[in-house]
Amino acid sequence: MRKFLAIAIIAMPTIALAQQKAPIAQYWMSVETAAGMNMPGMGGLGGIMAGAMGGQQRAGAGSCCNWVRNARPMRPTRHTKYPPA
Amino acid sequence: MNMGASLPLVTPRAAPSGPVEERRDPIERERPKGRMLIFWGCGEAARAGQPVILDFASMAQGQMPSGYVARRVAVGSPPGGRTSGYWPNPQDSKAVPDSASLHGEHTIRGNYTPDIRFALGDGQDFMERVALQTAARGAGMSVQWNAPATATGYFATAMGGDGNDIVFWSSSEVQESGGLLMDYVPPGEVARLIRERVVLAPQTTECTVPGEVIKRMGGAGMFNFIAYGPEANFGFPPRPQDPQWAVKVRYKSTAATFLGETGARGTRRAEPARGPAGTTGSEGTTADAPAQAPTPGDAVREGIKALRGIFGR
Repeated sequence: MRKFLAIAIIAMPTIALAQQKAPIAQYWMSVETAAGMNMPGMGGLGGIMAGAMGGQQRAGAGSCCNWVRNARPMRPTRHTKYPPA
Repeated sequence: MNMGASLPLVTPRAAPSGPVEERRDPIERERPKGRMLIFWGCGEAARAGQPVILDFASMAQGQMPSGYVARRVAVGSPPGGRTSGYWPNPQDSKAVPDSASLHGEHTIRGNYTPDIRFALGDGQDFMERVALQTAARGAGMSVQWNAPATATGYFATAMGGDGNDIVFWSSSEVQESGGLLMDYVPPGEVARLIRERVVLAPQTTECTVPGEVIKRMGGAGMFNFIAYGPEANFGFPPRPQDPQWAVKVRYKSTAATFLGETGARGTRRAEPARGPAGTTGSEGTTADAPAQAPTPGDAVREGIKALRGIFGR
């Protein structure tokens, strides 16, 4: 088994998006558990075909901030360590 | 996480602009040839009307197959921009240890972002590992898996070839290439795709690859599997105040194995050896696999190369 982690953070100017303001900073963690004989590039096959044929699209890829509407409000804590022990 | 005191989020440097070199990839200049046969659906027998056949030579001339169907999938992707940072990066790309856990408090600090603090609790750590088990079922090949506790749905593909045709199969009950489905998909989108019978429900633990698919693959193929996971979203401050930051954590668990005659061996050697630098070891050097014999993986790579040649990607 292998574990993979990909982290991205972006700061953006506060702009109006669909009647709401986008957050100043967005932080993404992509968390994968992988097992077996994973083949690099396999996931891209359908994407190549889809991109060429125009049927399947990454809907929402450009609308980075819509999901923020459903984000759970949270207050900061006093803990400052990263990553957690 | 057992990865040191912190992980640096590095801003990528813009590549210096210069003359664009001509692509030297020989595949691009070759006239594509061959076909791809597309199957879908779990079961011992392939459904009526299958396969859909893609002819590479015709496609290279702009003639797309009439029977090919693909769906719009809202997968989303991390935002990009000039004021951004990423990990892993060229300065730090250490492997994540098996003992790593995301459970607990997280703090992100930077000189272009506000401090971000959030906590991940139960059900928000790395997903469980998916263990695949294969067994012959009639002429087909049954694949069984454990159901990770937080899985929201599953999708599988298989690919192989007999030297002439490339064969592609997906677990979708309706025709779907599913390329974008082998990645993170939001739970709401997974639920929609379950209703549309594209994605398997989280209670499912078995799918049989039809016998005709195995046969057309020359008896062996590569099986790829994904278990979609939940998402964790946080934001501060609470609405209706203007947000200062937002966090999204998304999860998936993936697995792959060989199908067909090499399936039993492939299942046992499913964990490739790691090299000294954390690189994946070669699977072609096992004692029971002749080094010169073509493998299902070879067919997959050839298929990808052919398609990239056609589409120039």
